[in-house]
Formats: sequence, structure tokens, C-alpha cells
Amino acid sequence: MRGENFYRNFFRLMNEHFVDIKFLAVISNVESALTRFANSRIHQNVFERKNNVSVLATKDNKVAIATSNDLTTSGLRSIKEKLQGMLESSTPLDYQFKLPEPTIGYPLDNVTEDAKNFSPEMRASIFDKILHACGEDIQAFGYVSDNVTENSVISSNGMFIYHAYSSFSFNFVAVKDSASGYVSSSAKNIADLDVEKKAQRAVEFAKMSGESIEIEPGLYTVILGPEAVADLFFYFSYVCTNGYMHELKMSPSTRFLGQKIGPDDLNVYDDPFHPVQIPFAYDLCGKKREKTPVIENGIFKNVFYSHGAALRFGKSPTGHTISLEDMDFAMPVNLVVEGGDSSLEDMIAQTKEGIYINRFHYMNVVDPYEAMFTGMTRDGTFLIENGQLTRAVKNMRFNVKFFEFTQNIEAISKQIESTSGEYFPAVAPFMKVRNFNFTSKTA
Amino acid sequence: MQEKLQKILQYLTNKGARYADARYEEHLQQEIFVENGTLKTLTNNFSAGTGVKALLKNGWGFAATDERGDSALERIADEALEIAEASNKRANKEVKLAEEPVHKDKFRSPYEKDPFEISEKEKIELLRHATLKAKEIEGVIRATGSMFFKKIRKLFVSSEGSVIEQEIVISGAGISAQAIGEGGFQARSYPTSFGGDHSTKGWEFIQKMNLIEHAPKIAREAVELVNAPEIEPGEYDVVISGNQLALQVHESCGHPVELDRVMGSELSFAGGSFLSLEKLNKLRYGSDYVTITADATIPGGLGSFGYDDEGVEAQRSYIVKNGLFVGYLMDRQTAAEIGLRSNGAARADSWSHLPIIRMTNINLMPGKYTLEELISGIDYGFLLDTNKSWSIDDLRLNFQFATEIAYEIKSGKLTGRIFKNPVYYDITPQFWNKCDGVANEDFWHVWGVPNCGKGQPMQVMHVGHGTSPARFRKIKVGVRK
Repeated sequence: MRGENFYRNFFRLMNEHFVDIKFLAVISNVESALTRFANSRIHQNVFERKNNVSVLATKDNKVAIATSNDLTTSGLRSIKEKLQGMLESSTPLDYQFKLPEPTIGYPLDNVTEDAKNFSPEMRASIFDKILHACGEDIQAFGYVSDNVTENSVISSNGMFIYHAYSSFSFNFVAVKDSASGYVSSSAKNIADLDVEKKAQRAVEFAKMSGESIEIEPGLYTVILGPEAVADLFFYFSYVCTNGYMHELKMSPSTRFLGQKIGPDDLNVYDDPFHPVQIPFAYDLCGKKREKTPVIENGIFKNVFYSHGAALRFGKSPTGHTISLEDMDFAMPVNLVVEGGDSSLEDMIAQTKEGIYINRFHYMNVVDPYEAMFTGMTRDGTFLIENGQLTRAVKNMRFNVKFFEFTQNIEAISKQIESTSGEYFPAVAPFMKVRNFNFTSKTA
Repeated sequence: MQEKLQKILQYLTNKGARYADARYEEHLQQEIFVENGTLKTLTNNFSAGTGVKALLKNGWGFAATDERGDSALERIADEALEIAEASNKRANKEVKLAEEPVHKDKFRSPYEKDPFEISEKEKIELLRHATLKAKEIEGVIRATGSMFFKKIRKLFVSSEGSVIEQEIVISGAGISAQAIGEGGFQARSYPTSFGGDHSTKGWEFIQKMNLIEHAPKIAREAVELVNAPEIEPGEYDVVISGNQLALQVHESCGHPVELDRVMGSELSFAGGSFLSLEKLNKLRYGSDYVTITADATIPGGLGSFGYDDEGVEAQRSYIVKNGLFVGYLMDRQTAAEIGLRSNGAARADSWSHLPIIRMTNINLMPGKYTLEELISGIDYGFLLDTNKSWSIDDLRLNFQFATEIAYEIKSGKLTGRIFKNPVYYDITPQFWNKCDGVANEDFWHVWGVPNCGKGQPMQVMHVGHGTSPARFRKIKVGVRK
């Protein structure tokens, strides 16, 4: 960690060097470590320390971006020279560009003591706990990671934002012969990862899986675990909540925004300050992020506007600019699918015939306009018969249209869990859903 | 720099590392994105740093920094050792590395015109014209074009004595036309989707694409697709285009032959592989028409290089020979486990990451047919072109691909009718055993895939796939919605 003063000095340095250029800059320092294990032994164990400065410069309604990890004065000089050349080559935008209004915000230091002092040995001791949960007949695969990130957003019109935060995450695949179970988590503190409890669940799944049976594709009632729910809502947010595509009428939001798309207890927020989330407090344009409804009481409430899209379409930026390179793109990065009123036990007990799905694998968008997604089941898929998980089921492929899926939600659990996510951590409950469309099997 | 790195290796071996290597890399990258004739993104990125890997007894440690001073390098050497110590404490197996000769060499990917010497103005103008040409077609609401250039300089030194310098240049570009109407949203891309085609060539590669010339055709097709019918779900004979087959090879052959996946290293993220060790030299992966190579030596291939990031020389090897599964992609550690020499597939996507097994150029070798001959052998079916989406299970068996367009084939000829939203799916070995013809070398092209994700932390690697169109019988097309 460099600390706030380094960035304050950098702010002064940049304003000296870029005195004749309008600019917005994002400076970051990331210290990230990850211990990876497979076949119950550590096989990859890494640490990286990375700096970065991305400078967006604008002149005559043109925009250019230069990025470097050389934060020295000579590094800044070459960025400036580069940008001046690029602005000469560049052509004007088709809307009136301006730098973001300066945000006034107290420096935020959300780096935990845990993270400041975390060592390779401490990471490995988390692996030890997982190994302990495995016992004799389970093989462990997964990772444990700790990160400390500092971000500062500064501009020639006086913006100075400093935010530091830390995070821990892990995942664990428990494997017994051909059976497996999976859990993951992310948290601000190491204790909140809940490693032992979650690891135990993955082990139980692996032990329950045993010989799996094949079932025919078709429409099934399913109970989705938080991992699977988080994946579906991640893809929804990626495909359906970008205001830029909404304004171009190229997004499903054109037809579904403002509509009742699911039950009253379906509530989804982008919430950087949720106790289980990692606090991404500012976006890359320095806009303070707030808790914002995405779906509220079953109604698709909001799409999000990046700085560029907001300027172009006369909207207010919503704090969702996640890339300077693509100023049109916006998406929520602190997704929280809120809990409902049901208990997982009741959801299972009240299912005569169905399938429990722990997680999905390799989801993708089949048709962005229809929000149609595909993916496979993985690591813990079970038949539900007369209110009980009975036999493991061989992996199946699904194809679902998201807005049909939400209309078919039958129950949402009170219980919510943190998941590490492929791109961003997410918080999600269990869900019971009718008519989930399985289209092919693995055999 | 070489002297600094060798000093660090000396320091590591003095501290007990039985193997160590260090990589200094500089990455220069440029991206341009144009929409409807307007420049939206012009970026230039520079990144440089050093990664150090150490093996202490049987524990690996890796640490990386972008700080440049001697003390910073010594600090990451210590960090790598501390990490290796934690790994070694829990080691339950001896780490062996396959033998590799010591290399002292320099490599530069061959290109004619350095893309970084071409003015930004010229690149922007080319994309502006191409997108405006597409936008001229009535019904097109959005036309986009992008270019990507990268120059990677690497210096690799190892405690075994290798010293290797490399410079690799990457160029890529593509355009896309999008249309919308009563029948929904459709897009067509050239030369392929998701940013186009990429190569380790220079500006000449972009010039040969003739982007402006191809813009109206894809624009017209995008508009026509909006109101085109969908294929009635069923089993059909299909010809799959080279650009779609590139991804098919990538997902259903390239990934499952990565030996680290087979051995479980990727189980927590990307998954395992159905190609377990007992299947080597026994499994009928495909029909006799299917021969697949891993070849990092093809000039211009996006997966080409001089040496991998473990200092192993670029090679060509067979993966599938006339349908029989005969080889894996390996690094030095996995190769040693099965008693072989590494075939040079260990790469990292930057100085800050550890090398892991990555595809090089994984190629479906050309057959003897022309495209017309492949089509003429189909009574009723489709030519499926340009990837739209992909998904495959964790063992790489059950896959589903969507393509941008399907061209109808009737009585051995293209009818001119097009269909939207084609989706086909199958199980990997069953699918490849249904191949009964591959087009010849006149139709063969090495497609560049710049965005192959794998590993934790996630690494994004540039790989290549040489393919020509191929014919498959009785493939399931269309899913019940």
C-alpha cells in the first residue's frame, strides 16, 4: 500500500505536468496474492504488485487515453507526449464531451488489518482447513486469494478521490471419484469467508453424489443454489442493464424496463455497501456509487448510464463507468439478489419432483436481444423426489430466456450467501423455479 | 536487464532454490474502436515488469512487480521464496521438470510493416470508411469496427543457463453491422466476430482484409437476417465455415488436450478433461478425416512464438492423427509426469503471471475437397458461418454453438435462403466422428483467437487455429425454446 499521501502528491505532480491539458486520470496500486491447490496439494502460489495510471485527455471534443505502469516523472512525460500526438490524430465525438464534475468525497480506507498482514503461510493455513474438512477420501481443488487495492481518481478540474479496500476470496471443489461439490465466497475479512462451514457443505455434496443417473431433457422444477442464481443475474445485468444499448433500442430492456418481470419478493440491487459485498465506492469517473435498485418488488427498475452514455443521451451518470476505454459501457458490479421469505428446507420439502442445482458452468449469451442464456450444471446436481434430495444427476445443458425464468420463480430463500463470482463477487439466495428448460444431456 | 535478472537467479539458488527463472516483459498495446464513422476509443497502453519463479525443494513460488530498482527485484525474489516455502511445507509429491536443452537465442515474429509505425490517422480513417460503408445500407442501426495491435518484448533467463529474447507483434481487426426490426436484433461480422481476426503479422495483415470492400455484404446480410426464418429443430447435414470451426477446435480439442486440465490443475475454475491418460493412443477422437496438430511454428499464427515461457523451443506435434487421439499440450512439469519432453505450451499473458499450459496454434489439417464439393454432397442442410456464442461443459464433452447465419443447402447447392439464430450442439467425440470431409489448403486459414481465458488469477491468451470448412453428418441444429 502506498497510502493516501502518495496519491495527493501524484495529483499535484499531474496537474503540474498536464497544465495545458484537460484530463481525467485513474491511478491504482494492486497487491494480490493467490494460492491454488489441486489433488490436495498446492501447485500454484503467486503474488503480484502492480501500479497503473490511465489518463483520458480531451481537446476540441476529441478524446484519447494512454495507460502506463511507469509512475515516474519520465513516465508521466511520455504519457503526455503520447496523448498530445493521439489528440492530433483523433476525430471529434458525435456528442458534446466534458470531464466529470468533481466529486467531493472523504478518502476511504477500507483495508482491513487482516489484509495488511496476510502472508503466504496464512493463505496456506486456509488450505489446511479445507484439507481437514476433506478427511481421507475427498480430494481438494480450489484457491484462496487476498487483495489490497488502492484507486485514486483525479482530474484537471479539481477532482481528487482516494479509495482503498481489501478483499478475500476462495473456492473449493470437493471430489470423490467422479462426484463433486463446490462452494465459493468473498469477504472483507478472512473470518467472514466462512471457510470451514462452506467446505463441509462441498464435502457433503461430493459424498452424496455417488453414482449419477441420466435424465431426459425437458422442463423441470429446479431449486438453484446461490452460485447458480448469482450467475444468471450476472448475465442479466451484463446484457440487460447497459443504458447505452437501451437508448439504441438494442437491449431487452427496451421491452422489459418498467415491467413486472417476476414475483413481489424479487429484489435485486447494486449495493456497494451491503455488509457481505466488497465496497466499490466510486466508479472510474469518480462518481460516488449508491445503493440502486435493479429489480424491485418484481419490477425491472433501472438501467445504468456510464459517463459517456449519460452525456450522449442527456441522462445523469449513475456511477457505473467501469472502463475508461469504453465510456459507453455500464453495469452493476456489487450485485445483491435479496432474500425472500422461504426456507431452503421448505423449498425442498415442498417439491415432489425436481432438480437441485448447486452451480452452473460456462454460461454464455445465446441471443442478447432475447436475453437467452445457456450453460451446464456442475458440481452438485441432484434429483428431488418427494421432498428429498435422492440421487445425483449427470450434467445437463440448459437454454433459458431470462424474462421467462423470472416469471417462473416460485420461491426465494431468506438465506443469502456471498459467492466469489467469475468477474465480480455477488450475493444471492436459493431460488425455486418452474419450467427450467434443459435441452441436452452429457451422455 | 539480463545482468540484473541473472543476479536475482544467483540470489535464489544461493538461498536454496533448485530451479528458478525470471522474465522481464514490456507490452505496448493500441486499441481503436469506431462506431458509425465516429472514433469512440483510441488507447495506447504500456506495461513493463518482472516475474520471478522459484522451486524450493518441492514447492513453487512466483512473485511479480513493475518496480524497476535492484531492491524491488530482490524483494520479489524474497517473496517468491517465502511463497515457495509455504507450498513446500505442504508438498506431498516430488516436482520433476522434463529435460530441456539450454537455449541462448533471439526470436522476432516475422512481419513486413510494424503496425506501430503506421499513423493512427490512417488506421482510424480505414475503420471510419468501413463502418460508414456498412451504415449506408438501409436498416443498419449500428456499424462498428475495431483494431488491436500489440508488441511484446520478453527476456527470459533461467538457473539452467537459458537466455532468450523475443519480440512478438500482433495485429487484428474486424467490423460488424447490426440491424433491428420486428424480427429482433441481428449482427454480421467480418472476417469473424468478437473483434475480428488476429495474427502475429504486421499492418500488411490488416490491409489484406479489405475491410471497406466487405462492409456492404455483411450489412445487407444483417438486415436480411432480421426477418429471416429460424431453422426447424432437427438433425441436418452441415458444412461449418473455417471461422466457426476455429472456435469448435478451440473448445472441443484445444482445451481438453491441455495436460494440466487432465491432471486436475484447472478443476476449480475452467474444469477438467474427458481425455484422461488411458485414452492416449486409444481413443477414436474423430473420423479418419480428422487430423489435428499443435504448431507454434506457423509464421503469422497468433499462437506462434520462438520459445514458450519456460524456455522450451516452439514445436509442431500431433494431437489427433487420422482420428486417433495421440498427444497433449504440455509444460515441463506435466510432461515429466508422463515421461515426455515438453512440447512448449507454457505461456503467461504478462510479466505478472505464472506460465500455464496454453494452446499454441491448434489446427484441423486440410483435406482434399473444395468447398463446392463439400456442399455438393448434401441433399438438404446448412452452411453455418461465424460464431455468435459458445458453451461447453467442464469435461469438454457437451457443447453448444450459435452462429450468426445459416445458408440453406438443397440438392448439393446453396439456395440463397438464409436462416437466423442457428444453434448446433453435440458431444465432442461423437461430433468429430461425424466429419466426412475437410476442405483443402486453398480454403485453410489460421484464425487468431485473442481472448482465451484460463487460470486463477485469470489469464487471457492469444492462440491460433488453422481450419478450412468441413462437413458433418446428422448434427442437431436448433433448440426447443
